[in-house]
Amino acid sequence: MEALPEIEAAGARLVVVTPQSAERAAGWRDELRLADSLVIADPGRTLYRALGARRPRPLWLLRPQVAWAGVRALASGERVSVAKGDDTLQLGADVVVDRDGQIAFLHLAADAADRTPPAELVEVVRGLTSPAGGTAG
Amino acid sequence: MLTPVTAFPAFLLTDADGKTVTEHDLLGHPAVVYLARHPG
Repeated sequence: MEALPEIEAAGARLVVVTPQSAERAAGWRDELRLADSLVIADPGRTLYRALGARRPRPLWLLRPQVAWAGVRALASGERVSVAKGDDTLQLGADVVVDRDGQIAFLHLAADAADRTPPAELVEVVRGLTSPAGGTAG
Repeated sequence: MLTPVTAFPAFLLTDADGKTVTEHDLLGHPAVVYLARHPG
């Protein structure tokens, strides 16, 4: 989470949601040094479903571009730690929420590599916290 | 037809320490919420 300083400097809090048990989420939090961030465990994927995060069918993994991305990830040394009960098909989402709980930005990932650049998220936050954004004060 | 979500849904989720996440934890300041794709 290299963008964490910029997110906090813009006046926002980082909230990480993982479809894992609290125990595994804690390990992840410690590994990524997110002690000051809120890490939510959502093994039932309640939040994922509510926001509409995609979960493709298993055959999606056989699409050439998806398989190729997997090969490249393995070749680059990336490893995935999967435990019994983990949902390996669930895709992620990027959300910016204003101080009143309204969604200001929502991006639902189309594939595993489809994430919003952190700088773009920071810009959305700055728009919320600047006087012109109407939520300052 | 699905209704677009405009408010961040609040559920009785727990944090990594097993504590229930409340509205107090989420509101009062902007938040960047990163939903991880899956473990790894």
